[in-house]
Amino acid sequence: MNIRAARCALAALAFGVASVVAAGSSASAAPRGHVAASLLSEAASIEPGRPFWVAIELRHDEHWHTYWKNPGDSGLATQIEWALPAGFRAGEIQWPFPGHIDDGPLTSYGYTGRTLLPVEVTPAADAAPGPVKLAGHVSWLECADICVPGSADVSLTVPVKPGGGAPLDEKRAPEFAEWRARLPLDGAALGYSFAGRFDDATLEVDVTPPAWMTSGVGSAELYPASAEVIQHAAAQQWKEDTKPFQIRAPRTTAFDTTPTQLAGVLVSANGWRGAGSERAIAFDVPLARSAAALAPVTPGAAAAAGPGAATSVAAGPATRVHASDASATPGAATAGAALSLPAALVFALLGGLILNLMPCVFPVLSLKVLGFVQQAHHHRRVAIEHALVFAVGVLVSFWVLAGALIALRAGGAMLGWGFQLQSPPFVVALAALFFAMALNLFDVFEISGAAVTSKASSASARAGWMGSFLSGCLATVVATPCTAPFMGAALGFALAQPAWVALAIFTALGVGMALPYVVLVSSPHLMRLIPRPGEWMNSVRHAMGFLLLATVVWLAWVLGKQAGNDAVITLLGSLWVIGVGLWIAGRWGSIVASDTSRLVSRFAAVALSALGLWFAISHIDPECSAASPDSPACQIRAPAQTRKPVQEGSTTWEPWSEERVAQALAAGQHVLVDATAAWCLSCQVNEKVALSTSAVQAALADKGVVTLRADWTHRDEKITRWLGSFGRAGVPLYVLYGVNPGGREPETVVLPAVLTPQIVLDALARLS
Amino acid sequence: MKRIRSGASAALLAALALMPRVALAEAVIGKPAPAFSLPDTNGHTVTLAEQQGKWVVLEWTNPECPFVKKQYGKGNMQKLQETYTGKGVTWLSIGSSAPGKEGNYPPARWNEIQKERNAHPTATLLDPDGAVGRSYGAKTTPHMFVIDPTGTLVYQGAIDDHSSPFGDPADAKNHVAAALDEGISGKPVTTASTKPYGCSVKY
Repeated sequence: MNIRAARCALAALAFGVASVVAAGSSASAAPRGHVAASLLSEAASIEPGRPFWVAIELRHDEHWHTYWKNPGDSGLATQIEWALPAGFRAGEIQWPFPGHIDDGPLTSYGYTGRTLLPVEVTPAADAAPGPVKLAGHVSWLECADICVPGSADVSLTVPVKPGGGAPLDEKRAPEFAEWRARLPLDGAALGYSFAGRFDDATLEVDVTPPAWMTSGVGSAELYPASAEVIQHAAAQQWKEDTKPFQIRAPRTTAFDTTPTQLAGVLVSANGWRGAGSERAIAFDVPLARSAAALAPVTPGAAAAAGPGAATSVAAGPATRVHASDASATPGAATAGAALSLPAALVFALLGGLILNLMPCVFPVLSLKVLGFVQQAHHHRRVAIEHALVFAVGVLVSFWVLAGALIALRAGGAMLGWGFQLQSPPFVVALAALFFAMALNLFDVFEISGAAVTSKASSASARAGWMGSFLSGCLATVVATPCTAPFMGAALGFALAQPAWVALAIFTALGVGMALPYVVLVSSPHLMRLIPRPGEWMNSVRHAMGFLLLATVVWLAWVLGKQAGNDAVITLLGSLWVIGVGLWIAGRWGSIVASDTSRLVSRFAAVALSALGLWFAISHIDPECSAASPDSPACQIRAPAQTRKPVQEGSTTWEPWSEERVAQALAAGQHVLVDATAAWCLSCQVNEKVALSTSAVQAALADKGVVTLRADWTHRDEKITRWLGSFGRAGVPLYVLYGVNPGGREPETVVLPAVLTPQIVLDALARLS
Repeated sequence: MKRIRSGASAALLAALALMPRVALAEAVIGKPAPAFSLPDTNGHTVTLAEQQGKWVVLEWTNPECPFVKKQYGKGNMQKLQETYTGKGVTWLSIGSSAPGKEGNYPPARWNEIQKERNAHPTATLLDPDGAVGRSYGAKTTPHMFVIDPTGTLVYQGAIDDHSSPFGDPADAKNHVAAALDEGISGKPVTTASTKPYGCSVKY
């Protein structure tokens, strides 16, 4: 029996499935146009004269975008012409802060994915009871590689109920709140003050925060309301190590006009009212020509400089450095994170080591060890080679995962570490793979090396290497949900950094994970501790098979949380079909069977496995998958499970929202937030061993702590953003907000990623 | 970088993200227009220097862009070209689309297109590596530049004041015509710069 070849084939099967899934999802492209528009109302019914919110909903195909009010270098802002009943008035489109759309040397500002553009509508004061129809013609420019004008007639009907209280539509209200949270706050009303100046090359705006704003905002970017002020595609510099904060951007020289006023939006990483608050503020400030020449904004410095601080000083003309300008770049990159690069690398290495002991990785790695045992006693050199190939497999898959994550986040997707487990088809494929591996360990079937090895011995060696490589990949993929204790901070740091720093950290993580094996096989001393191959290995293999089945049970539970009971049943059905297929392969496809019998039974096995997987994946609601996480089906169903308070012992876990946190704090109550996900094993463990213990529950009740749960089982941009405000890219995260009696800002304590009852009790005891 | 969401080439893109972006230079009103030398669709080389003594119009174009189609569909751009080349103005249409992108064609196809849409520029110039587009800061199609006989840039920006892919350009105020009329009659150009509108140049 060749374990490696078996795993090689199974991994190939999983890859095949993944591409089938991908093909299936891309086939469902929009029938015409690349952006679909509709009109939504936040109110279930309305009252005469009482303003309410509607929104233009734009659903963009992948790669397509529409534009903000200032489209940037090219493009057009979306418009609506209203056709409203007599006496109804619609306000202007309220623009949520946009994202960058970078295209070579050009930059535009706009929206991708699903976007709501809110508009406030005031009904006629004498509107008669009964349904009214609000209609409009929306026009936009949709662009990807090419640009196409788009338009649509949109309408909605909503009943007028005088005295009805204008109740909100329960399904819609949360997403309206979410999109309104992206509307810029009035910076001046919030207590910020601004001062602006320019010279021929540079625009500079001082941002003085109000006294209560004790922290920085991480980083900030300027989105000007008019296209004639700055070079949109050029790097900007944000400085917040001293007050006032300051943003600097290269001026555009294409226009012969002199700016006298600058209106725009500043978008921050962490929020203008403290971590996790609203990210955008609007400002409008008079501009004056600076008496002294301003230091130029060093192109690319903000993005590429990283920890190397000296570059921005050296790059500018040294003779005319403005007093405060020399430090414009350095702090910006690291201000938002609490770690230095060397510390992050060390944590990542340790985190990688610890990953090996995580319950999701352990079975895969024990198989690896068995492989070493088989080889090591005969051919130490071969074993070392395999260990190294395994290490390469780990590293490459870390790079691919990290690269995908970085690229997707750069594209605006709010994803975090472990994001692939938020996709139900991925969970199904992983469960099927583990199930097949378990059957393999139970000797139900063997993928004998015969087919591969009979050709040439060099091919068999290569196949073996491929197996080692793929088991490295597999170990990485299954490791991601087990964010080890040290990894939370390191990964959060990584994703907030320039790409090369992020890749360095992921590399350290991979090295840490692969290190024990490389050390083990390269040390004859250690190898002597491992017993000789023998009958004991069969017992271990069977035991590991049961461990794998336990993992399948866990994945089925995750799938149930994500896609409901039916999805679990179809998964079990598909595992049954796959089981039959693999049994056929084992019974008639073994090495002793005739060629024809082998061929037919293998074909049957592959066909049944594919059928089983297709069955399970196609029965996941196609509306709600990784390819379309923003679809209405996901929006409606996913929160339905999580929005309800959950009673655990004497503790009631309410669903988390930033509004609920603010509300509780305003009411003088302490708040504990548990950020968790069904697929995060360490989260489950923490909840069981610490948060659910009677001592902790009693202390929570005693202090009157409001307990909120942020469930990240599904993709949730708000939670991703909130995690990011604590420098985290994944769960678990435990945050305790303590109210101060003096009415000052609440104290925020981040608890460790591995909880014991005592840690929680100590933190609670410090609350006033 | 536009296809950054495609997962398949994610690792490659992550590597690309490490490279600094090449920024645009910008031509400045009242300063000498950036010099250039480009091949036209008939294989001749056209330079700005040899236009000394003539008014020059640069028109960034992409025949498939809806904003360009609006101008040509209503015959507006052709009429401008005919009118002003008739007055001795050099009108150069420039394509800066990169190979493989919308609006990049071999010279023969360009000649067909210009004939099909009845265009009358002095010459159609090919700038597939975008070097000249970048040196002027050409952002959109159309994006218009007017250069006086001394080689000084006197207008840059939109073709007219109706920034929409729809409507009749005849109803809009044409900034290029205004700049040329004022300039040729010896007056200063009133509106010397506007925000260009249209599709992005496909660098």
